[in-house]
Amino acid sequence: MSARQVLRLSLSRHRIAGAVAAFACLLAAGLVHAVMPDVWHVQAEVLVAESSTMYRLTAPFEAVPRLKEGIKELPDELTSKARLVALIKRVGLIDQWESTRPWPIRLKNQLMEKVRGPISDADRLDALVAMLDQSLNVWTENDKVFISCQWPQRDVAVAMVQGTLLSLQTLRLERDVKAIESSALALDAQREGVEAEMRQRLEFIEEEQRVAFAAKRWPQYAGATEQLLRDGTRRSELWLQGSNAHLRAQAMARSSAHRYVVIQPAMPPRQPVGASMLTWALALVLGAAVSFLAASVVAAFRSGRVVSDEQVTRKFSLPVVGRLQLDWSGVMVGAEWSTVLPGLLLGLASGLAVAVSRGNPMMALAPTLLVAGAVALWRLPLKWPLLALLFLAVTIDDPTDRPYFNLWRSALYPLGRIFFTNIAWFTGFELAVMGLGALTLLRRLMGLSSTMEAPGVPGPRPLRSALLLSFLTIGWLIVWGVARGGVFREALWQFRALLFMPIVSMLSLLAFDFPKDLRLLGRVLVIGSVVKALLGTYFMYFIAYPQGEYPPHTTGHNDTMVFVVGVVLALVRVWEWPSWRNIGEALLWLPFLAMALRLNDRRIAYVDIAMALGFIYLMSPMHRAKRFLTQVLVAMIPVVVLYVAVGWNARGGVFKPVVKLRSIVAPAADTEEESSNVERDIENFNLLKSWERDPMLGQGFGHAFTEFLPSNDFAQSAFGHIGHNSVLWLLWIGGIFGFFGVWLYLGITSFFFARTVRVVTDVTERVGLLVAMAIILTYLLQSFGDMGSQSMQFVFFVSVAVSIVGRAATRHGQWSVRSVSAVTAPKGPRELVASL
Amino acid sequence: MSKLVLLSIVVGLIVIPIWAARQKHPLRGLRLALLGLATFHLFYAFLVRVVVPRLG
Repeated sequence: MSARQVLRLSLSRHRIAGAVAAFACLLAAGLVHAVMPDVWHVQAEVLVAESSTMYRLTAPFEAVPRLKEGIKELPDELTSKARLVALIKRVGLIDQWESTRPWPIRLKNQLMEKVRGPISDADRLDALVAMLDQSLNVWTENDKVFISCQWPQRDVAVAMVQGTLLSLQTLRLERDVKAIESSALALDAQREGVEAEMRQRLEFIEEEQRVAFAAKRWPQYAGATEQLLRDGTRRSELWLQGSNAHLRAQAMARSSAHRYVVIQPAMPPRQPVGASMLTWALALVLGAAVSFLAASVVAAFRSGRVVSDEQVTRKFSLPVVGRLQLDWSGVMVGAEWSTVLPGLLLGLASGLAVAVSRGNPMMALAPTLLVAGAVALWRLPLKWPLLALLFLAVTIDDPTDRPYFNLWRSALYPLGRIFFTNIAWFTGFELAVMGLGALTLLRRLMGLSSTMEAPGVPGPRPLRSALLLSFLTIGWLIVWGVARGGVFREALWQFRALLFMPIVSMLSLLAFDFPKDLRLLGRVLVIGSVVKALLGTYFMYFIAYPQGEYPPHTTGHNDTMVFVVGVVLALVRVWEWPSWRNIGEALLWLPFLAMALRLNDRRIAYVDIAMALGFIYLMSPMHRAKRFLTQVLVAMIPVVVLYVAVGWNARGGVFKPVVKLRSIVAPAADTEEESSNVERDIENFNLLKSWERDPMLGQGFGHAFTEFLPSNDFAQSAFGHIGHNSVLWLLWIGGIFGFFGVWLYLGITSFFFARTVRVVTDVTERVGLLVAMAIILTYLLQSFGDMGSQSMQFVFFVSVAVSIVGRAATRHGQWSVRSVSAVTAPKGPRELVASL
Repeated sequence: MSKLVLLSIVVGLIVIPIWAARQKHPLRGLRLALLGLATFHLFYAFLVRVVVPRLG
């Protein structure tokens, strides 16, 4: 039965439920709109124009300060608590507070006062500061400062923005002029000190002349005369610098009005925040209509009457072979609470959403879409939500990883905030994984797992046991650490990614049916990585470079995995099956990824790719491509050695790859790379020394390692709670036993990979297995190099890799004793063909 | 050199199970992998505590 037929049947039978929902939507929207106070939005814009002429005239030999340096701190300064308090007092908000509140809030306040007693002025001020902190926004874009305020009273909103504008001008004037004046005064003081010394020397010379004349000898003041001459020169320099500074301070004070031009003043708005009457009407009609339809369909399904083929199939376990055509009128079913109530709630929610969003038509759809999403999640196989999470992990920005060097926020940033930062103790990804875990458990309890999970055994038992062991070991390390005085709040940041790894791996093993789903997975990875690469390239060429910024990375540290996997996937496909199609497809996305790798400029990415490709080369059976590559590599050895030797001390040009290689292996002294390596070595030393306290059982989660040697990166490592080298950090946390337990599943995955890759003949499956191992290798290298164990992105990648290997191992009987003969099969597809 | 010693645990975690997987019998191979990994972890602890400090 088509969706149209289901809709038609539902509407004809359950119009009453639909009408109730539509009425509830309109009623809720009307009531909430009547009760909710209006909000007024006022915004001002200031152009900051630093005159370079002023600097050139007053300090011709000093660099003109960059504009951005001056206005970067403004938002924080203008919204500091002290300034907000001053603003509230200036506007007199405390006195007029009660009279300007809308009646529902006044009523609530009166009730609260009766329960808790009268509110003190200090409490009222704190509440106002908190409210203003939320309502007053100051931000900068290039050379402009924006100030906006949303407040229930129009005049107050205008006064707030005007007050902040005044604060901005006062602050800048104070800062510019006072800073220069202080330096001028310091120069004056220094000059006066030199003059005092000069006077003393003159007195000494005169005294010496007198004494020498009386004693009839040559006066001894040659050194003092030379010093006097030097002091004279120094005094002139200080006088010149001091005069210039005074001149600049005066110029700054007088030119202040020209440097801060208010290009949009704080004007009272004509209407409050919200949509126009037409949009309001559209939102209400849309909300009511969607509620009507959704409530009818929900009532139809809840009534127990047949509306879809699936109901018949579920009830009788028989397929539907034919249907009767029903005419439009149908039979209207009487309203019952059980069928009408869900629609009624949906209508109320839609109305509430329209009113709270002040007439946003999209919000009218939100409750229905949420319900539809929840139903879809319940009815869709597990692999779809997991694939969606993987796609999100690959594409969206991770706000904790300084995406785009914090210079730009892509359209995916809001999603990144939901999924990578804490909402109710956990991040969106963690909550989604927990939800999926609970859903899977519930489906299993209800006996629905057969339709929602992939068919077959979800991986070999040792692999599943190793995943369970990892989960339990992390649990033990939390208890162990906290029992030994660790802080749970700190532990939460330490273990979260590690703890979710076995959960997501288990879900992936249950969800994916490999090799059938490999192509789907490949598409998600490729599309995601290309989107990320394009965003990174756009940021560099259209955002950063035009602003004169040359950030050291584009998207983020953890995106290394995204690009590396994309590159390895393209190359392995060509390696395993060098067809024109595979080469063409690889060339479609490789250039984007190569560009992203270059712009992201992570040395470890090149190491990851080289190691992964080297591993794949070693694990592949000897075939034509491998033979050819081996011959080429052997022939190239002298050329490569010569090239590296010649370019070892070069700075770039044709030797750029050698420069990069050197920065990894042995960075030149006094370079950024050398300094970074030294900091890592210091941190590794601190970790190893801390580990020595309990090498077998470890410290447990919730502790910080000791800073035996001072390190500049100590703050970056959350003050010793998270080490850059996740391998040594995990050894310190878990000791040998903990480390073994937490990461044993990686070893078991390698074990099953090696057993399976020898018997797999399907090219797609081989590519999947090799890429899976490349992911695990990259994860381990990234963990060794730069906090790889702390990323939720890696959790999804590694989990998928584990599930590819696990599923392939069971599919090819690599944990069955009966399959011993299979292990003795030829090593690869070419050998299989050859043996035939 | 000391960095290579520190990195050896990553290599061991991959290479030892692959080496053990050459056994015909899967259970025997798995036991060998577990034994190999456990032994290597202990050996690694020895390397880090004794050898790495001497390498500087």
